[in-house]
Amino acid sequence: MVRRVLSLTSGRIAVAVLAVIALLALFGPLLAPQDPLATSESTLAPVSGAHWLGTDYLGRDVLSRLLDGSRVSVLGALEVALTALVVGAVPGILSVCLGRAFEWFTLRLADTLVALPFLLFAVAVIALLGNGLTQAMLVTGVLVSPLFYRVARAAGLSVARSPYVEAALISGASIGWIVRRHVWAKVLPPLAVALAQTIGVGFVIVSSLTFLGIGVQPPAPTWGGLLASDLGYLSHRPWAPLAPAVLIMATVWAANLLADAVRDVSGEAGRALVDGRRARAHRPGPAGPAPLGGAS
Amino acid sequence: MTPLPSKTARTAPPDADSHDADSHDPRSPAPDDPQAPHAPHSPAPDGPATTHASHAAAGATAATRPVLSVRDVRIGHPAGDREIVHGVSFDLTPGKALGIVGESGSGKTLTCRAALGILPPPFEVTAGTVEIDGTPIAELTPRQWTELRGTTISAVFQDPASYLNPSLRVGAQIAEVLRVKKGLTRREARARSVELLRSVRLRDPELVHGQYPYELSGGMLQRVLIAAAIAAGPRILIADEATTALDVTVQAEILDLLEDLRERTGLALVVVSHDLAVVAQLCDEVLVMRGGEVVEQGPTSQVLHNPQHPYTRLLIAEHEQYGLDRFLAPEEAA
Amino acid sequence: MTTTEAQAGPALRRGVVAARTRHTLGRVLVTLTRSVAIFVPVFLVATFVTFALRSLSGLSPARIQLGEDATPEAVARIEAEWGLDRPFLVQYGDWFSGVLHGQLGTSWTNGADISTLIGLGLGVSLSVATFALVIGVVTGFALGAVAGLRRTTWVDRAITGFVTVISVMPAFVVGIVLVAVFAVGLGLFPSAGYVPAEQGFGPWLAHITLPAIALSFDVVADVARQLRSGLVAAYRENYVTGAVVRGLSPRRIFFGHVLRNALGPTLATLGLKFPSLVGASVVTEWIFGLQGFGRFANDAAQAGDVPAVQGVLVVSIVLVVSFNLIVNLVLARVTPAAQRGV
Repeated sequence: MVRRVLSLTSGRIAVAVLAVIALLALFGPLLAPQDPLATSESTLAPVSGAHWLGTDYLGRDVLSRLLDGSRVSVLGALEVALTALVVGAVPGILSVCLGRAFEWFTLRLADTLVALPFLLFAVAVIALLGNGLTQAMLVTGVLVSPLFYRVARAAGLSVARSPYVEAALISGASIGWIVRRHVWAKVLPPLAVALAQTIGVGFVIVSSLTFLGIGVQPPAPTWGGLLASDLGYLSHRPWAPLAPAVLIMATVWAANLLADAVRDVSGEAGRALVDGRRARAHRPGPAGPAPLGGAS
Repeated sequence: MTPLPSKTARTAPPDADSHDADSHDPRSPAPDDPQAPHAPHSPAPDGPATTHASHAAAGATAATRPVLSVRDVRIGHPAGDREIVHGVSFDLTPGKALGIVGESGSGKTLTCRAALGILPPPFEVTAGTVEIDGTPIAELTPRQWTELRGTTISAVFQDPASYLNPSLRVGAQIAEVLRVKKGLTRREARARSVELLRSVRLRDPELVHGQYPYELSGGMLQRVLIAAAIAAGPRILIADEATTALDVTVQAEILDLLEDLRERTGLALVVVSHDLAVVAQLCDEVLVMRGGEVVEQGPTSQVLHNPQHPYTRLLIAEHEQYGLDRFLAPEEAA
Repeated sequence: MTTTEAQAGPALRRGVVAARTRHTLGRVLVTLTRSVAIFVPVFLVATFVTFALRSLSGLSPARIQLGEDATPEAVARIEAEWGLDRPFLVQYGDWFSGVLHGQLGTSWTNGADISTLIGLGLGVSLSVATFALVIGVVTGFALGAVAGLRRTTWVDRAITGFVTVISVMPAFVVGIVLVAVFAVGLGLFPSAGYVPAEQGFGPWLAHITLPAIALSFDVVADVARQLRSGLVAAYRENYVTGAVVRGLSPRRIFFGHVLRNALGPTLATLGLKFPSLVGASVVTEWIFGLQGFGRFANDAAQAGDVPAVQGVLVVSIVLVVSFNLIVNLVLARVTPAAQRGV
């Protein structure tokens, strides 16, 4: 599948942008030309040879802060996506296999989580649990997990109810073989799409939280935090928010682009995601979405 | 294996017989069914006699001027030179029925869609002309098309459920046509649409009027679709595989309804089907298509009794081989 | 062929019509009940979790009022004052019955009534959110409809590209850009603050315009995308061909047939969008210095004012559920039961 994603122009662009961001996250703190926490006399300095992106209100080098802050933002987004994947997909698939009680319970739970304004809830829960980025990301991951639950469940249902699995069972294929041959092929692509989307969503949430000063201790730089500190000095440096804003948007865009590319190459299976998301929209459709729609 | 010789023996004379059997075979499976009162009656009378009449009169007087005239129509991709339909010609006069028979992909549906001006995008009429009531369709503006459809030419299709808007009550969809095309008021349109539903022999038209498509069965939906198609009083009705997905008794009733409409209102019918029996029952003239080519064309009885092209012969033979009469025949013999 | 009731004959027709009216009423009731049925567990789980978290976090009004170096006796006295020494379930039950009576308790930080505090902020937030929804729906609708009608042309591609760009712009980024350009740069709008509508419609509108636009981007993108794909899908349906063949005009087919069917998913998306709109208000109100609901939530959370945070969650859930209720009722009108999989 990786090769097929890379065969698309959009897939190549998405992967390239995300690779650059990942490299920033890995090596950014090492590349920072100056100490991101060191203050200096020249506050709110414009772009210059010494400060490529100028300095902030305490005279700290913006480029260094940007590079140093990349790791937190990217790791945060990954934490959100992986938490959501584990918390959502496992019960999603189990809800197809295990009994009705489990199915009913998890469906209600997914409905509950979806109905919560997650940014608000994340702010509330994090404030109560204490100010730490990992808590913040785990909570956010749980809150966005219904997407994975629905996707995994829709894909699982479509496999479980499909005639070809029945046919394979009748023709005497082993369960293990069926899982390898049919179930993975059906379940993995939509999960990959959801994962890429969630990285984008997670990135926005991390940036929003750090923008509000939640999840990190004050002097530590983050992309969201940079924007927040720029806000107070817009009249002095109106172009200052540009760099962190562009970085955030490029990352989110690349994640969405990757999601689309994966969906495009996975064809029929990728559409399970769309169905899964539309299940709440009560659309008519074959096998997969109907039980979801009926249950919501 | 005695059937072999017996079949060949039967081929020649029982073609007449087969026409006959074909036409009432949809009804005959249930002679004990009280819903099939037409069982003993065969529609043979409308066969040869009218056909000859139509041919004698074709193009002679203004009264029988063809309402739909297709001249050597070719359909294909305009860019690539792939041609799908290689020249179809026919004339249809009011009150007559033309059948187009052929396997799927033979171009019969494309021909009909060309006449309706709804060819799916890559395809276009590359040569030839279609005239609806004397107007060549190539010259029609979109607005004129809109005016013409429904009032002069209309159509019903296979899978009637999908051709009705799922989120509107069926009565409202018929009333809409009446209000737009006939300028009726809301109240008049309602009354008239109930009347139309009754005229297509739906049992409780008032009830059906207020139902959604998903609440109706396939046969009922096809009647509703016919009612909507004839609401604005068109002169031509194209029935594209209109009975294909229906079960045999319902199919017979729908065909009966079309026949009745033709006799009552002078509607000109184009019946497209892959089933020879359907066409034989209803049509004066038959066009046999294969691979975009018209392989045989002529009065129904002539084509059925005296097929010239091997493909037509094959169609008829298959019908005999797999049709019900194969099972009925030994019984009769016994 | 015909349904059994069809044979009932005209005598029963009046009864059938009456039953249909009842049926419509029943559908509304079913929609209402279903929304409430989802709402109850949401409500219980969310409030219970926040309550449990308070117990786990060890946050207490004593810390806020007395500071970190209070004596254990003083802390115990204050906690007893707030009734925090009672068993957990008793506290929860007490609080819950208060909520049912519209009482959200008192703030730990200043002893003010939380219902009043939230009520003050809600006016601001609802003004902004409603305006954002209006902008989002109108703009999104226009863009989606044009793209859907001119599908696969350059207009469609341009709109799709534009929508993709604005869909990746988080509300706070848009907010900052808007402030930088329209408030600081051009000076067209005030950069912060709020004026109630009673003190003049113009100033009120001027103050909520930028935050509403910032919030609306997400809605615009989602509505436009959903409507476009809905329209494209609907135009592929056979019933469009059916309507064409019956001689209906393109305009009539669009408004009477296609739009109706494309609208369902779009409306449903809008229902799902509302929670994130409420969430994003936390950030936009911070940027635009609005003393609204989101700002109150943020301040309360950062101060560790648990009753206030709980109040915020209760109100946000009520908001989300009421909005979904409206959307579901509209959906029930636009599309019949079969389409919604009832």
